[in-house]
Amino acid sequence: MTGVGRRKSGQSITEVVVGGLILVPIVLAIIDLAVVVLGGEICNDLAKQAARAAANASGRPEAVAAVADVQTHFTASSLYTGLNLNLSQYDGTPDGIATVISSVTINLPVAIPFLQVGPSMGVKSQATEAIVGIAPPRPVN
Amino acid sequence: MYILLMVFFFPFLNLIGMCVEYGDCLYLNSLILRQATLEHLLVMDNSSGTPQLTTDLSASTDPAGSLNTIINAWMNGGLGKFASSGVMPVQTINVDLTEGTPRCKYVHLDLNVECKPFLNIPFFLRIPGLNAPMMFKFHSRGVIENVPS
Repeated sequence: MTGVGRRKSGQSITEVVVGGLILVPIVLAIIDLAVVVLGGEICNDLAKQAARAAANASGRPEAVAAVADVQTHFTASSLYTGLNLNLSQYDGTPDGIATVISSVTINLPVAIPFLQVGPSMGVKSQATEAIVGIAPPRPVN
Repeated sequence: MYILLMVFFFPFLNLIGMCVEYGDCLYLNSLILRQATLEHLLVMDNSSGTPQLTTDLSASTDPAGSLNTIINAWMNGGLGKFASSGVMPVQTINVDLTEGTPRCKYVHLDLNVECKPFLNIPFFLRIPGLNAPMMFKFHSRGVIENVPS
């Protein structure tokens, strides 16, 4: 191999290594971002579902049971753990509201060294629904 | 440069494209689930002695039902043309009457969507998502809005 040929192959290897050093962290960060976005979506969805279930209840004990039922049915994976649903407000009146705060721990598949994010992070969400499980009083004629 | 393009760049571009397609299918799933929760899936049956809840899943089983209408609209729109391989997504719903409380029932939705790969990467093996269609399977549940009492 001549000196020029060796220099060209060396240049190609350098390009692959430098390109890989840039591309691979970007793709890993994209995967992490997707996991975080999905985790946020799960957290938000569960809060809404629990709030809707609590709004259907006719009293606080039933509302707490409904929220617990949503939490029980959550299938934890290695990425999403530690779901906590908390019925933070339940007015118990026909014109009241039910509010649920949810939190989920997201375990990132790849810890990003330079951004100092991970290996796990928590997300919180809150949802409020109008109570529909308690009938309003009959109108007085 | 060839290695960089064929091993890293195009497969990574494909991966990003498949992520977008997944989000597209997730959007379809949320549309169908939302509609399913609004349907009158539960009926109070008074024909026998004690009134009891029964299920009416015609919104899902009827080809012209509201859930299949959403899928048709999605397939004919840009989102469906972007993601779908051309095979009609399949949805099934069911309601477990023993689940939840008397006032709070849930509908379970299963949705299978076959997506085409964003780019067809030439490779001697057929790998779903790389050079073959990929199936996304969604399982979700939602609170039924109209529960007869």
